[in-house]
Amino acid sequence: MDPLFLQHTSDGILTGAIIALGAIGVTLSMTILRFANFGHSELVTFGAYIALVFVSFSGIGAQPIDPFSIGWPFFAAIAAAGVGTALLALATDWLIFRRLRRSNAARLTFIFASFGAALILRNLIMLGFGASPEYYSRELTMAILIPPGIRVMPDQILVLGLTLVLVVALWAFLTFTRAGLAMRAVAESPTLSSVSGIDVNSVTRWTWILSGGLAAMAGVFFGLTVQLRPEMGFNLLLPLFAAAILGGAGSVFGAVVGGLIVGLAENLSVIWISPGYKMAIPFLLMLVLLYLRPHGLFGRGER
Amino acid sequence: MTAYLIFFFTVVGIYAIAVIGLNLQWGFTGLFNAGVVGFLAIGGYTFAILTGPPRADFFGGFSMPFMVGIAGAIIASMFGALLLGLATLKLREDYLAITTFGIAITIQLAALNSDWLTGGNLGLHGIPRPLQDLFESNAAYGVFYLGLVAVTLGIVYWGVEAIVRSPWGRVLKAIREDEVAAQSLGKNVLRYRLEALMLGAGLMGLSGALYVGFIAYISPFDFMPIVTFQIWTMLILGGSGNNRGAILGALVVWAIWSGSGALVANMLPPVWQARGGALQSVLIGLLLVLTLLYRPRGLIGEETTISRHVTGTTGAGLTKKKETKA
Amino acid sequence: MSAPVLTISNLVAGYVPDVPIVRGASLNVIPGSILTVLGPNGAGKSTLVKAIAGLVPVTSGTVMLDGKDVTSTPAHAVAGLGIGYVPQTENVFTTLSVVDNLKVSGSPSASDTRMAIERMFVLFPDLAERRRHLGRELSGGQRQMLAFARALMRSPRVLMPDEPSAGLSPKMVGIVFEKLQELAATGVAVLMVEQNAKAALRASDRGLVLVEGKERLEGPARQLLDDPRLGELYLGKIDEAA
Repeated sequence: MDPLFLQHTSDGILTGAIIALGAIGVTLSMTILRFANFGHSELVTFGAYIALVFVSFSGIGAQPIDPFSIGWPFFAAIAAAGVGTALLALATDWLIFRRLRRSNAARLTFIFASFGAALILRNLIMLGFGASPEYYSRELTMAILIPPGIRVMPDQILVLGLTLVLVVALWAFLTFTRAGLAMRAVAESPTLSSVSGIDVNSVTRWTWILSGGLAAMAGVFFGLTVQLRPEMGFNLLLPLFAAAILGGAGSVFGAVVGGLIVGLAENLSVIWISPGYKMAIPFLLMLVLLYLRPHGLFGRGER
Repeated sequence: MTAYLIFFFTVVGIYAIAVIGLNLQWGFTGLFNAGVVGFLAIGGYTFAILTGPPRADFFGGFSMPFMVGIAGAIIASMFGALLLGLATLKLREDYLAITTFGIAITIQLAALNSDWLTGGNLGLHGIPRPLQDLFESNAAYGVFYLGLVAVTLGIVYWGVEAIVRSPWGRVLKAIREDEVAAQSLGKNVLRYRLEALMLGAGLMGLSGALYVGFIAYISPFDFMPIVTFQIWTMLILGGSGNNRGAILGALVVWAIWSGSGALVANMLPPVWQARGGALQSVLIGLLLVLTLLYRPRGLIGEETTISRHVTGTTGAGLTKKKETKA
Repeated sequence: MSAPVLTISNLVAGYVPDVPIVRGASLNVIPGSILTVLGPNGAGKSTLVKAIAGLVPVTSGTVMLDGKDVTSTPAHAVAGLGIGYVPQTENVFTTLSVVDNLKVSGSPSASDTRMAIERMFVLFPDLAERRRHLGRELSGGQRQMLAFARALMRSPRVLMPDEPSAGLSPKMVGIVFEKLQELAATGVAVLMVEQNAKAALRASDRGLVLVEGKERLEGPARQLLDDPRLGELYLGKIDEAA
């Protein structure tokens, strides 16, 4: 096969994996919190920058582990990003969305508030770090050559592996634990869940923690394989929404597949059209899908 | 100073037209448009392409009359809304929000990259301003254009007021309050919402075109995502569901925005200018969220309607639809 | 006659403040017996049980369970305290399997939950055969049984089905009411809301007619069936409409 095609496929899978991590959070909030969270993108950005702060404080003297560009402290940074972003997600819920729930606000008001919160969060990053791109590591690494000619960076393989672990762990959590079952129950009906003895507020908190944590991972992985910029999350938001909708909002499996499709489509599109239009691909995919299969590729149909 | 005031009020007037368009979508119909700037951009570029001077290697530059450009802008924006509305209005509310957000991003991207049509990041220059030859000084022309904007705003205000008070407008409000009840009355809910979405988008297109006619130039950087937030804040702060509130909101928010911008420009060293812009955006975001939380009716709330669900302390379209009781 | 397990006194409740739907209702439910709440449409029957279940805000009045005040307890805590509410619609999780439906309603202890599930499968053998089926794959009658089983997982003192006969075939209605009688015989107190007055009263021990949010008539079910006032308050209108 054409090596160029294979190269773009390999890049697409990597991008797709990162999009999938973010899209899982989007899909969870669409079904459990019941609104499209426009602030999700900023959780991605915050996760990336929290790790950056952590790396810049602890990274001194850290020897990169061959062949990667990063050392052991980076794994602590990933954990810090996950925890910090989950806390940020809980804080936005406590400051904004909890109040809206109490006043019985309509779903649109939630979308709206998330829209405003996103603007604030994005510009706080801008204020704190400025507009220029940042990197976790300036360490140069050698690309690995996979026949017939695909070049993959070691960091990319690491990211792909970690993503796989996270997705499997999340699947196990949702399938086998009581908290996971409670989340699936609330996704279908909060009222029936609460009369069944489930504390919906606690499930809401779990949802923020999970989606915040996964968003942070997406941010860190993007930062590691591309770069960090204040608008990195904002630029990912449309692919995240597209992936969630493609997978049929509500399905974790769907979000992962949706993420891969969007990532592949974006990267393969450059074979035929100018790379400048790459970012429009998720939107076009989404629009075509909404016309043909409004409930997602695997969706059954919930209004 | 006078020149600045004329400039200031012209911009406020142009914004106000878009805010009234958004009011039609959100305030009166309860449709969330997360990509207002996308429709402004469609209008602006259509206007520029239709009326601009011809140039080599470019598509467009048809040198058409001002009014043709305006009409084209309105129609193109309405068509964009039709495309999104048909795809999403039968689905849950989130989808319209997501696709409108998407179209704004995509239009900006297309504008940046389609050099053959939009001039790419350099934009399109020398777009003729209507009747400029009749005026000797720029100052006099400024007054004329302000008058043109004011008259247009007046017509838009009057027209939209008439529309929302018509039977059509009352059906819109009924749908916003209780979709099920409106449906049972035999009203085609989808069609009414689509019409409101398109009409609002048309006004946004008009606003975009007037803006381009005003500055005689267009570039993708005039249509940054922040514009969407500005227009939303204008509507929410002014009081959604009320067209006078929409105009007041445009005035207040633009005053805050330009005031804080001037402050940033004067107080901060040049290296910090970009971060100063971020500070302005944080201010807009805070204004939006705090109004939503603490004063959902805005400065002037919606006038009392026959419906008992909107009386009370919450703003237009912000409270949950009446629970259907078993 | 034993002491009531659930006592409602002067309960005022409604979705919106200042618009009470339940307006000072009082009632007692006795262990091992079935009390049916009847009343015309909009009388506040469903709102009454929802208020007890913690789903509708209570403005004043009390809900006492076993002498303990449980007024305005959040719905999820009410379930744990021993009141099993069965909503009229959407009363099973359609996207979860039968087993998961039961698991969701179990106590935090995994072993207790396992035992409770086994108990439910003895009580409802139909469900045992369909344990891996999803909620949406069940028939109307099976769903109602699953809804009961779900509400019984925490061994409640009071079971509160809201219109359990709605949408079922006449034969199925008979089976559902028989099941409720069987459950009451084990000592559970049943507080049921019903439209289907005659069939429900035949299966009940006592009946209560709610009009405009307040009880207007109460007594042994047999007596109520023959009471002409019941017709005036409620049945007459139904017969006219039919």
